[in-house]
Amino acid sequence: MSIRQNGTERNHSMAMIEISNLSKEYRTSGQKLLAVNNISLALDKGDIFGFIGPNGAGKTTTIKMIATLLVPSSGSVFVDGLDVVKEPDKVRSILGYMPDSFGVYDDIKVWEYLDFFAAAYKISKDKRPAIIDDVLSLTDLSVKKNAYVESLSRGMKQRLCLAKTLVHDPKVMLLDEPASGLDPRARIEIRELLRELQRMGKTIMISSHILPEMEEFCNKIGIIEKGEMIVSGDVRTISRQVRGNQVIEITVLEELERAVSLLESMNEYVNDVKIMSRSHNENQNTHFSSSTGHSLQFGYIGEPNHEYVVLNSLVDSGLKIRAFHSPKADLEDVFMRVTKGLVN
Amino acid sequence: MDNPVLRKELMRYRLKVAKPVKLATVLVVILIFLLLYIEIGLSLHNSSNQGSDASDLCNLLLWLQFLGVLIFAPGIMCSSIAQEREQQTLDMLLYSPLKTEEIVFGKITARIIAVSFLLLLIAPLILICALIAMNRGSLHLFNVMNAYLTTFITVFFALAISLFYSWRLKRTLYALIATYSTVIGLLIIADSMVSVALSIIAGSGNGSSPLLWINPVMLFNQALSPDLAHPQSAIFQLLGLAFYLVCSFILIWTVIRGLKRNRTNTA
Repeated sequence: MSIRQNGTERNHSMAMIEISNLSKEYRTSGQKLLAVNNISLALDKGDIFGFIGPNGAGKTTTIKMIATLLVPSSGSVFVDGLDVVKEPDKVRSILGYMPDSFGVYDDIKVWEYLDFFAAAYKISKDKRPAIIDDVLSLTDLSVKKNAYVESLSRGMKQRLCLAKTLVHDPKVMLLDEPASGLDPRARIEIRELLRELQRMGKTIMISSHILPEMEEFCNKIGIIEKGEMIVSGDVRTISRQVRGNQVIEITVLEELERAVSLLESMNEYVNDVKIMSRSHNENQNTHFSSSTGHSLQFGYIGEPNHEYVVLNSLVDSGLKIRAFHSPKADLEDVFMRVTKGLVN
Repeated sequence: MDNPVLRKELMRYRLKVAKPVKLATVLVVILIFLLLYIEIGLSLHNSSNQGSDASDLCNLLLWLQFLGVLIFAPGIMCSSIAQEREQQTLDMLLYSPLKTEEIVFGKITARIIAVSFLLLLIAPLILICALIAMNRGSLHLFNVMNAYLTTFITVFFALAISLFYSWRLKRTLYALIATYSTVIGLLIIADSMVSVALSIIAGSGNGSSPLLWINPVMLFNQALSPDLAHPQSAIFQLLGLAFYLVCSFILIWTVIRGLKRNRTNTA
């Protein structure tokens, strides 16, 4: 199954990241290993792309090719219209890359660490202090400005690395497993930071294994397995296509049985009506109760954007509808459906 | 020159302790050297043969300085690139717009500054002894200058070897072992043994094989105490130093080229 955007046929200047038929082949002890196989993808400005796949699927190799750190065996990658092979230095100037495993200089101070990278990016001496203050504030590390890097916790070092990635104000950010190995609090802090970057309009490509977190802030995802992009595109579209139809969840205050029979009668629009085994109240109570309502789910098979027809029918019939919505795409479900557990 | 790598490397040499402790450390070092200077000054002043004693002391200090920095310099250079690899900062360094030349020269210059600092500590003492000895006619300025030149070039060569291993090998420890094996094991011990063996085979028996002139100890000895009986020794010494310089630049150039390749192949 392949759900692709038509990005590869667009003008380079339209997409922030544009990958066409990208492949990377390694030769190890006389054997060929196709780490990335014919991947195509397009991301627009402001897109947050979640790159999902098992270990060894080719995520890091793909990210490194975009980051100009690996030369593709075939295919092309353009970042903001710049060819990563022909103009790597220009690409690097607009890219912020955070590798999956990274280190920091423990024996210098936080501000010195950032000042070093700011100087490396040729930012003038007089502008550096303000930039350092900005990125420290953004990453919530201002209080650690004069602390030695070695005194920071792992989560803080992760944020410092992100701060370092931001010193030259990149348009595009490539974050390879930014939350790996972090405790829940540090993960939440990283997630909040990514949300802030999203608001700043950065185009972000992020690889992670923590799928529920990806659901929350990615508008696009790509699932890669054994070097091949199995699906890529808008999260909801993928979810719908993988599941076969759009899922809608409703909550009725009472008359559950009547609601079910009404829905089942609308076979032009509805199929696969299921009473949910749990309610969706805020307390995550696993029992139904008349005070919170009864939840049920159905597949919508009507015209796109005509879901209101079902809602109107239910309301007209006198049912007390408390909620009517598409549940959040369950990436874990999508991931398990489309992958086979293959690795290179 | 605003080289961020140089600034960062120099930052890493500082003492990470509170200001009073730093101040105390500096004062203790100054005091030790002051006492040493006074002691030597008094000994020379009371000596019955000032010229000869000053010359001997100057030679001794120059030897100690030479051997000290020859051992110290590779020790601090070994970490230059291997440590970046060990602490997983090399990728980020190479990913930045810094030129590989900037990275390499920044790292070398920082080590040269550290070595120079060490030399500066002992330089006044050598200068005092040298001035007394030269005043009494028991030491020539040329020899002192030659000894310094030989020290600088030999240390530069040792730094280049160390830099090369630091880039080529994965760990600082491996680079350290490889560097000392090359400088002490190969250039000093093995070279001496091979030279003597070759001389014996050739029947000269005096160990004056041209191969001996890549031995840093031999070069320094020639610089400090020229073999006047064999004037060609001076030419061999020059050739030896030229060999060191050429090898140093080749090694540094190899590392720069290698890092350039690494910039697009860090997987």
